[in-house]
Amino acid sequence: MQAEANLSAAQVTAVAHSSHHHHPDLRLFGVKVFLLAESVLFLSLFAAYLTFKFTAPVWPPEGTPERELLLPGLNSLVLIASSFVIHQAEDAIRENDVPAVQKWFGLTALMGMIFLAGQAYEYLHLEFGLTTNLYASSFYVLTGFHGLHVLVGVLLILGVLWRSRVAGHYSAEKHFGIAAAELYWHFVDVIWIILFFLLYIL
Amino acid sequence: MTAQAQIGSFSPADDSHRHNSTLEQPWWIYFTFSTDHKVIGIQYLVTTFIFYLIGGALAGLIRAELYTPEADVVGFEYYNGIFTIHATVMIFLWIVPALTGGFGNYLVPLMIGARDMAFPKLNAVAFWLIPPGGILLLLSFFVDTPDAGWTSYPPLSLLTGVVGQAIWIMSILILGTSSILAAVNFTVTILKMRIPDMTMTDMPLFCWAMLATSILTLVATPALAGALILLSFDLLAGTSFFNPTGGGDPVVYQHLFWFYSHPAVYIMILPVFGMISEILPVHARRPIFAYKAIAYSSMAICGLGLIVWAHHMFTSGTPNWMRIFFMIATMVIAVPTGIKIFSWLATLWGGKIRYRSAMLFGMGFVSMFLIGGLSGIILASVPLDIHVHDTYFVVAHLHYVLFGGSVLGIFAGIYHWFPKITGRMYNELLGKIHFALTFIGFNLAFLPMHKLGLEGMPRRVAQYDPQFTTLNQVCSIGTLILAISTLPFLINIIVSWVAGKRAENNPWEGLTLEWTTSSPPPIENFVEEPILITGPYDYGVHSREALAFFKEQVALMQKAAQSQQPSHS
Amino acid sequence: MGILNNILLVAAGIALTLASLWFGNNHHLLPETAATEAELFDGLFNTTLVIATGIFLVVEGILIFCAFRFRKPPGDDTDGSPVEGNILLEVVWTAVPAVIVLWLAVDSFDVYQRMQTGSGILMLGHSHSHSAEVASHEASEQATHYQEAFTKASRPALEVEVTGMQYAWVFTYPETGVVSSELHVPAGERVILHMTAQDVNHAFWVPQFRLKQDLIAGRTTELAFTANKIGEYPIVCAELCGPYHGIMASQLIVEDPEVFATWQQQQVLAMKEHPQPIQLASSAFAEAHQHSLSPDVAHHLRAIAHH
Ligand code: HEA
Ligand code: HEA
Ligand code: CUA
Ligand SMILES: [Cu+2]
Repeated sequence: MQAEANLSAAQVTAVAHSSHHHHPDLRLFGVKVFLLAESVLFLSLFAAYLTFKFTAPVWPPEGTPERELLLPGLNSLVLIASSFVIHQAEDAIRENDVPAVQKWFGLTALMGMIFLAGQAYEYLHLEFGLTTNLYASSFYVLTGFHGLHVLVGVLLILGVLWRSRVAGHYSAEKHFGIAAAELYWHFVDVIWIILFFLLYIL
Repeated sequence: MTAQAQIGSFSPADDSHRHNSTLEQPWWIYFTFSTDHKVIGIQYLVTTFIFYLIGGALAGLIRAELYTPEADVVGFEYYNGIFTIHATVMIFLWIVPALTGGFGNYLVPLMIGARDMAFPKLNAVAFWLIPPGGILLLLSFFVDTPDAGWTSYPPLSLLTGVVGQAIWIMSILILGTSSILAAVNFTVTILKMRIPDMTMTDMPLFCWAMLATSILTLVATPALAGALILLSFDLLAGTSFFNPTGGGDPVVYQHLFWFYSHPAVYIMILPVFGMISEILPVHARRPIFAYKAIAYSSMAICGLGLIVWAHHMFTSGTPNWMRIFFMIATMVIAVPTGIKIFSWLATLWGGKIRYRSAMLFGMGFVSMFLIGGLSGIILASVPLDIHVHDTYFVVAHLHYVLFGGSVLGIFAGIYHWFPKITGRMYNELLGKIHFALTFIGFNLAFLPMHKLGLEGMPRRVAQYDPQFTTLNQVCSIGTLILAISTLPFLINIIVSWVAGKRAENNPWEGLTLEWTTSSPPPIENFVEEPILITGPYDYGVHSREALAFFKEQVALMQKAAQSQQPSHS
Repeated sequence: MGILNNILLVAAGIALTLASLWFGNNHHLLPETAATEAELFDGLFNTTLVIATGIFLVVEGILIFCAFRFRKPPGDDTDGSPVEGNILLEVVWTAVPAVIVLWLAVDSFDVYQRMQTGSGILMLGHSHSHSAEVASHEASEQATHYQEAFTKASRPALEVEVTGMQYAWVFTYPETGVVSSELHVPAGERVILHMTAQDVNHAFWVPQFRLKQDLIAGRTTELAFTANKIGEYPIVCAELCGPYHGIMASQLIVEDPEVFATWQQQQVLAMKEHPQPIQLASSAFAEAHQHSLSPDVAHHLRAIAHH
């Protein structure tokens, strides 16, 4: 523990050491850490919702109109399917196939927009408003907040598409933007599945 | 901790890696969107200190109001707004950003041998969210001050001024985003950017503390955002999540709020624990006692800190089993905290203590935080808390841990790293005067509050029973001394920064990596990636040799830098 | 040398224990007690304070000792001893606090249970040294007296409904329909309060009872106690409820059961004479606080009440 480590300045001779070694790209790890925080945000809203649900005598409160399951069900299928679609892009970029990436990303963006349009349609045809009761408020805030995330995801995907016009911007080795957009999209998808279960089924 | 020194070396700079030799950045850099972690660290420290003075001036108003039992200075209408802004400023614009943004930014990359944080631009964004958030909050004084306390419990927060409350929510959301972004940055930097020789257990303890802090921030802060989003819907859109008239439940807000705000108190103390673990060994010339226990106890506090929140709600009609669970979990936190306290004592034991200002504040921290911790244990006991909840006993507790803990720790850190940050020495005598005045003023201001609370004085009141007058006057006089104590500090810091004696690169002979570079460090911190030749706390082991090596390293570095840009000073 | 050190250490230990015990029982930090729960509280508080004082003295003692003993000798520029740890010590200072806090938690739990079930009353005479020391002699005699009365009669608890509103208290006795702005309770009898808030949260606190419970809008909360000392005690609102939170106060009057019964009868009679329920909103509050409020504040409050 002690004097064995008897180094003097003279002993400190040259052991050639390369200049700063290069850190691997840490951005994707950063995105993962950020998504951890995002999931807590949703978790806190879920926890609040569940508390409301389980402390209420009847849930949804009496007088809440029946919820239509068909449209949101189809909408969910679109969103879930889009996760598989976007995953194709990942495989494509490994092969350096940018046109395929553009195809899959374009398709995902389209599916995302269909989802958003479906949700807008549902909002317009629901028989309850934001302040009707606690269920209605929770419904709009949760789905709206998730919808906002879908919108951000679509914008990210469009951003990647925009950048992919420049040849060589993305390659098999270097495609942070693609990976991040995909990861985010999966995240949004998983949140939706939980949300759907909580709001429509449970 | 690695006991054997790893012998390494330093090779002259190669041309592929040019570094600016400017040791000091021009003054205006601090007003730019600089991405240098050191510039950002200083930006944080200076900005947050200004907010501290603002929060302190508001505390002055509080204490002026409470000098007499009648509400005669600021009056009922303004009093609540004043302590609400006081607390919000102190927590969200002073302690949290000063510790993580300020010290964390400045020190973490240096301590792990990195050139910068993992995401420099994100870092700058996180900083530049602070001024708008803060100014927004302060501007509310001119419109409609938020006045439901820093806890802003509904239904009250829904019934007082809508504009004020909305501004408060907005401001906290901005500041919360800033701290989440910073936490992402720290987590990645600490886990991934260490020099290759440095394993987790070679890291300085401050880095461990910052890691624990960042994890807490990531896991807890979003819950506050969740609570505030729902609150703002209630406030602005007429929903009733927390409003019983529409079937909502105000207690759910309390859970969400404290799920963040209890961890927040550890966000405000863990970095200080880290700094104390750096400061004590250097000035006592002793290895830190029980490195691993201290490192792991930070993680234990991080974990336990997430499951004790309901101890703020013992009188909120919480079910019994919950109260018991939260009581036990809360008390258990005394164990990891005790490990730290006792290890620090053992670090001092057998040392050769140099009484510099940093050391005085460091030891002052240990003695004062202890009192706050012990009153915390009293609060944790359900039957005891039922009496003292929402009284001045809680106010005493929170100022002992936050002022006696966090603020004394910040002062210790400022003195300790001042030579490194500015390249100048401060005046030791003024520093000691600052310490003496702070110590006396602090205890006068807050010790009597324990008795006030136990005797029956509730908190958050502008008018009180005249039987409490004498003790309140002592508190107010203590505050005056505290206000005066900031004068020697400000004079010292400002004059020394401008015209202080040039500091050596390693004036305290520290062994952590920030001392192996120049004071202040060059733009990318080290000309060459530093090599670990010593554990961070090997005082009395081989510190002489290591220090001699550091000296040589910096000399070489400066020579190399000069040869690159001979014209620059 | 070794023996001397040991003797010194033992002496320090004894002094420290005595000092902690003395301070824990002579701190004069608390107001008088007027309920059995308060006596339970004081017992637990004193025990906790003894422990806290002990820890305080140990830590500060070592700190101050180090501060003097391990100062850098003038001219000595060397480092201190390179010891980096000691497993035995570390185990001790982990285990001892763990045992202390677990014990404190168990003790707190026990006291809490007795406060809630009111079984503190039955313990009065023959258990914990807790109660006897704290309560003044007279008080404990009185307490024993009412406790006997209570156990003999073993009547069901008196129930009172409490409503909190900005910034007043309303107490309703459901059995008789009496409504009052002050809380009258008989000494020695278990009282259960059912509390709710009309607007925002408030908290019912009687420092001499050491009891507090929030009044939560939209919920009913409960608080039970047994007053054991005749007198008037302040009821303080302890939860921030608006600008005038600080003056939301009332009186709790503990009376001999017979006096209490008469009071109730009088109230019932008074109600028959003036059938309309007593107006107790903010206007009554403003009336009551004429002197402590500035004229414009009182005016403001009256304006609120007339809405
Ligand atoms: C830096 C901030 C900080 C820190 C570190 C702490 C630390 C602790 N706090 Fe504190 N607390 C606050 C800031 C902080 N607190 C604030 C701001 C509030 C008020 C919020 C509001 O309402 O506005 C509050 C309120 C608060 C309450 C709620 C009171 C109420 O409103 O009724 C409780 C209750 O349990 C509590 C407990 C504790 C405990 C047990 C610790 C523990 O972590 C302390 C542990 C430390 C020690 C115990 C000392 C060292 C240990 C030893 C020497 C070992 C031996 C010791 C024993 C065996 C006991 N705190
Ligand atoms: C980090 C946190 C922090 C810090 C550092 C402080 C610092 C101080 N606090 Fe604060 N305080 C809180 C956090 C903090 N506080 C919180 C969370 C609450 C709860 C709020 C709530 O209930 O919602 C609170 C509440 C609170 C109250 C209770 C209000 C009430 O319940 O009614 C009081 C009363 O005395 C008080 C006093 C002080 C004082 C005297 C200081 C002093 O230490 C300040 C010393 C500094 C200065 C004085 C500044 C320097 C001098 C100048 C700028 C010159 C001008 C000054 C004068 C002319 C005096 N604080
Ligand atoms: Cu009612 Cu405070
Ligand atoms: Cu807490």
